[in-house]
Order: sequence, then C-alpha cells, then structure tokens
Amino acid sequence: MDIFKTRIKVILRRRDNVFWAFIFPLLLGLFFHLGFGSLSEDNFLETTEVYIEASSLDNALITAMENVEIKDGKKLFILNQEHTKDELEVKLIAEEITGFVYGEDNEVIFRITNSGLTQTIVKSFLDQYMQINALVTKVVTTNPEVLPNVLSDLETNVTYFTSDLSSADPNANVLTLYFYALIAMACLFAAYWGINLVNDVSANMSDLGVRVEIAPTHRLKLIIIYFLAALLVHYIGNILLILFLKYILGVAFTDNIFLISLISLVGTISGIALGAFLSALIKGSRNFKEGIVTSVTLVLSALSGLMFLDLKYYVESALPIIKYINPASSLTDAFNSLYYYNDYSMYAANIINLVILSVVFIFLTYILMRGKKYDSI
Amino acid sequence: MIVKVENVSKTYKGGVKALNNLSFEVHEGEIFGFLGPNGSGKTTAINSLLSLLKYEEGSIEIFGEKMHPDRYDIKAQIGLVPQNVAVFEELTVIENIDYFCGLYIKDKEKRKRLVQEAIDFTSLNGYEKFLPKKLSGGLLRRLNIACGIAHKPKLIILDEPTVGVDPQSRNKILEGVKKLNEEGATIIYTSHYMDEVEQICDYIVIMDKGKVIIHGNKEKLKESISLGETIEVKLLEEYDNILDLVKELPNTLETTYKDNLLTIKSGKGQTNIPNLLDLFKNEDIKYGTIYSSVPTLNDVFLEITGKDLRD
Repeated sequence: MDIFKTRIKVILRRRDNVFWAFIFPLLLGLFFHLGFGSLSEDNFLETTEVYIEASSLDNALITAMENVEIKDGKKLFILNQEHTKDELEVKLIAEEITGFVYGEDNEVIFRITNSGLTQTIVKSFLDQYMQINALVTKVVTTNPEVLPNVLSDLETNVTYFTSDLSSADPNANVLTLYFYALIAMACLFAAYWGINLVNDVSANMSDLGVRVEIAPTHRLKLIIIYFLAALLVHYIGNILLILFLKYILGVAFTDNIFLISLISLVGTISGIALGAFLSALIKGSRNFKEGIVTSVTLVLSALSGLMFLDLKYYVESALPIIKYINPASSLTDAFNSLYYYNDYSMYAANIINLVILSVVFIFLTYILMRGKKYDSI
Repeated sequence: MIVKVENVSKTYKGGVKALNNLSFEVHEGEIFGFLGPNGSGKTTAINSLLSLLKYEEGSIEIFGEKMHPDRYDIKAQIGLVPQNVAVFEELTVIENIDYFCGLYIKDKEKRKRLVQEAIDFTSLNGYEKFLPKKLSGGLLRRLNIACGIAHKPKLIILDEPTVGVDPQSRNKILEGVKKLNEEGATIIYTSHYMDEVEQICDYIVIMDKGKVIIHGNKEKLKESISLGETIEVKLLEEYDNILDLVKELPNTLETTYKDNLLTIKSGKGQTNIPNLLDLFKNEDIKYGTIYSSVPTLNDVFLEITGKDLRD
C-alpha cells in the first residue's frame, strides 16, 4: 500500500505528464466550446442524400424532410424514394448506402450499420420531428383549443439544427462528436503513465529501473501496483473532464454517466497498455518516448475525428481495419453508439474491442519485457 | 567468501569484449576496490554480478550461492549505489529513501528507524523535505548512497560514487564508506580515482580492457613494479645539459625535463635526494622546490599498461 501511495505521488508530481493527461484535454475542451459556441451547426452542414421507403412513412414527415433548409434555400436533404425496404436492406448490407429511413408500427426507424456525421444529422432531425409530432398529437387529443397557439410557437421557435453547444441541448448534436473524440484522446493520454511504468521498472531503460531490479520485490508486483495507481489517477481525471464538459460547458452528452464512465475506464486501461507497449518497443530516453506517444495519440485521435470529423469516416471506409486497431476509434464509436443505438450492442462491441486491444498491448509488452537479464544496460 | 567470480566473459553486440575471463573473490569484511580507467569494464562487472546483464561464460556466486535474477533472498542482502544518481525527481529526500528502503523492508516502524539512520549517516538532516533538484551535486550523491544502504545490506556495491562531487563531499563519502565497513558491511568500491581506492580499500583489483591486470593489497601492488621513487624539482634557470647530468645518478630509471620541471624516476632502494642535492651544489644549479613521492597506483597501472589511469 505504501508503494501504491508513493506511486500516486510520483504520478501527480510529474508536471509535464499531468499537463498532457489532465490540463491539455480540459483546455482543448474549453477551446472547442469557445470556438463552437459562436457557430451554429449550419456552418458544418452540407446537403445530404437520404434513402427512404416512402410508402411506409407519413407524408408530413416526407414533406418536412424535403423542405428543411440549411440556409438561404440550401436544402438539408435530397430524398431518394426509389427503393423498397428490402432493396434498401440489401444495399445497406452491401455497404452501398450508410442508412435508410422507413416506418413500422407507427414508428419511424432509421436503420444504419455505422455511426457517422450523416447519420447523426438524420437522427437529430428525426428525433426533433418526432418530439414535435408527439407534442402536437397530444395537444390535439387533450386540449385542441390551444393548438393554434402551439403551432404559432413552434413556427417561431423551432429551427432544425441551429442549437449551439452552450444551449445544453439534451439531444446530442453533431458537435458533440468532437467532444467524444476529445474524451477518447484524454483516455489515450494515459499512455504517458504506461511509458513511465515500463521505464521505471526496467534496468535497461532507467537508473531507477536498476534499483528496482536489484531489489527483492518481485517486478511483476511493482508493475501491477504502478498500473493500478496510474489507472486510478487517470480515471479520476477523466471523470472530472467528463463532468467539466457536461456540467460546466454544457456539452450534450447522454445522461447515462455510468456507461460513459465505463468507456472511460476501459479507454484508460487501453491507453496505459498502449503506452507500456510503445515504451517497451521503442529504444530511447523517456522524453523521446513521450514525444512518440504524444504524436501517436494525436494521430490516432485525429483518425477518430478529433480535428476533422469526416476524416474518421474517410479513413475507415478506405481501410476498415483501422476501426478495430485504433483504440481512439473504438472509444468514439462507443460514445456515439450511446446516442444511436438503444440495444447497446454497438456499445458493447466497441468496449469488447477495447478490452481485446488492451490485452494484445499488454501481451506484446510482456513478450518484450520478459527477459530477466539484458544484453546491455 | 562473499563474492566469487570465475572466468566471466561478456561481449556486447558489435563485438566489444567488455569482460575477458574475469575472476576475483571478495572476502567478508573487506573493502574491495575495483580500479580502472573509464571503459575498463568495472560497471559491466558490477551489472553481471547483480544478474542484470547476460554473460557468455563463467559463474558468479554471492554468499556462496549461485546468483540469479530470481534469488530474492540474495538480493535482500545487497545494496547498490549506482554510478548515476537514481532517485525519483518527484519525491523528497525522505520519501525517496523510504520508497527504496520499502522495496526491502516491509515493516513500517522498522523502516522509519532505518530511514532516519540513513539520513543521519549521510548527514542529510535538514534536507529531508527537499526535492532532489534543490540539492547540490554532493548532497545528491549522498542521497543516492542513502537510498542504497538504508536497508542495512551485508554487501554494498558503490559504483563510482564520487564522480562530479566537490572535495568536501568526497571526503564525507569516503569516511562514510569506511564507517559502513566498520559496522560490518563488505564493500565493493569501483572508481577510476586511484587516490580514493588507495585511501580506503583493503584489496584492489586493477582492470583494463575487461581483464584483471593485477590484484592484491596496495603495498603488494606497489612492490610489484620497479619504480621506487619519483623526484620533481622546479629549476630556477634553464639548463640545457641537465638531463645528461641526472642520468648519471644511481638507480635512475627515467628522466624528463620540460618547462624547467625536472622529473627523475628511480628504482627501489635508497632515496636519490642527497645525491641530487650534491649534484646541484657541485654544478651550481639553482632550484626552487623539490618533491619526492613513493609510487602510486597510477604508477602501477602506467608501468603495466604503458598508459595513464586517467587516459
């Protein structure tokens, strides 16, 4: 327990690592907030082709989708109504389309295989439409005399996709994806502790490692203690980041904090494991390794959409394997799935993928570190 | 027997032979000196001894048992003061000592007492709450020592513990090493400073190119060479024929004359100073200072290898 406590002190006093692991994501979140705060989503939006099975949908919805504008007459959707549901299903499986909308049992269903920017836009529109539809239906059945006022209010106040992040809209919007990518990056920054962990227990990497390896305390025991200390500290840091984004900046995350916390926990484990693996793999000083890890985590985060949201979908379309080997991608997909899917199967799949990645990184680290004597120190 | 190293050879990748059939023994209660120039293989020998490095041939026993990375019982009785200062920059002096002591001693109360004893021993009192970056080079070296000896090991290995420290701190460190030995620890002390080794070590091994070139106590080492005395004279004027004159002195081995400094090396036997003074008087040679010194370990190394220990 004393070693664990001391390790936590060491972690919290490594100021450069603390900056990257804890302060940098907070600052980046703040800059995102300030930058996006002055933008409405129409700055990001382009006209999107949406496949629908027109025969199963309410005409009012089709009309609304046809008429909704981004700005100055620029349409948000171009509807493709040429296919039946079965045909669309075949196209979806063949990955010719990314999703389609159809009706079933008085419900509007948006069927997709992957999360993405287009899907987010369609989902957001449908959610908002259904809410208004439900409201109007309720007024008509319960209090029809106020209907004109309600319709007047809706006409005045409802504008699709113009809510900015500072409004703390309970419905996720496209900008939220950037914050998910940010949390994914913060999870991966746990890689710094992975580097420190391996460096501090290896005689061929640091002078501290020499002391550790000549001591009668089993090295594996120390590795586990160092790992747990790093996990605890970084996990708490991530939770604070999520709370900061959700409650201080008003980012529209899902309300299921438990599920977000679980992603963060698994993400932190994969971050530490990634850092440990890179540290065992790369020869050089701690600073050199940290430079490499900073670059790697930023590239992985960029590929998961941190800097340019569409990059994730371009890259993953061109090279699908990236989706499975990039922990940042699994992290953002896990976050996104909380919004897209009600059965959480995609969420679970991404969590499992992260666990597998962590196990692979830890196994590779073990392979690289298993020797008990070195060729040179 | 505390340590027994037999015919250990170690070649680094690239073909550099760091240890070449190295053999030596360290006996209980000794201060065992490892002397040699930088790159002679001292640290490689220590790392092999501690089972950190692979070696191709030979065997190493510590406390009569074969040394292996998993011999935690042996490791528990060894303390290492590595060549580079190995402490956590993020922990204070007392936290560092407590942490490393904690890798050996689990009992909290016992550890607290040992940590305080290590602080007292290395005279770090008053610096307990300092971070390493606030310490001078000498204090940092003392912290490095405290971290290696706090658990009261039976065998202490100090690898060049005085590199880069001021003379005052260096003396304190050397006094400390003697005291540790007096308290019962067997010491292995590596250095390329011959005067340190000469000052504190009971038994000395001189290494070069991974081999033991000579070993024994300092008296034996000095007796093993032909040099008996080195006389240095600062002349007050320039004398062109001075070398021809002093060469005729009895038992002279070597003479040099540069910048008015005359050096005469003589073999074993009587001192040449009276003969030299007579010569100066007869030839009316004006001189300033005269120093006479007995052979040093550097002279031993020089005579055997043909090069200086500091090269």
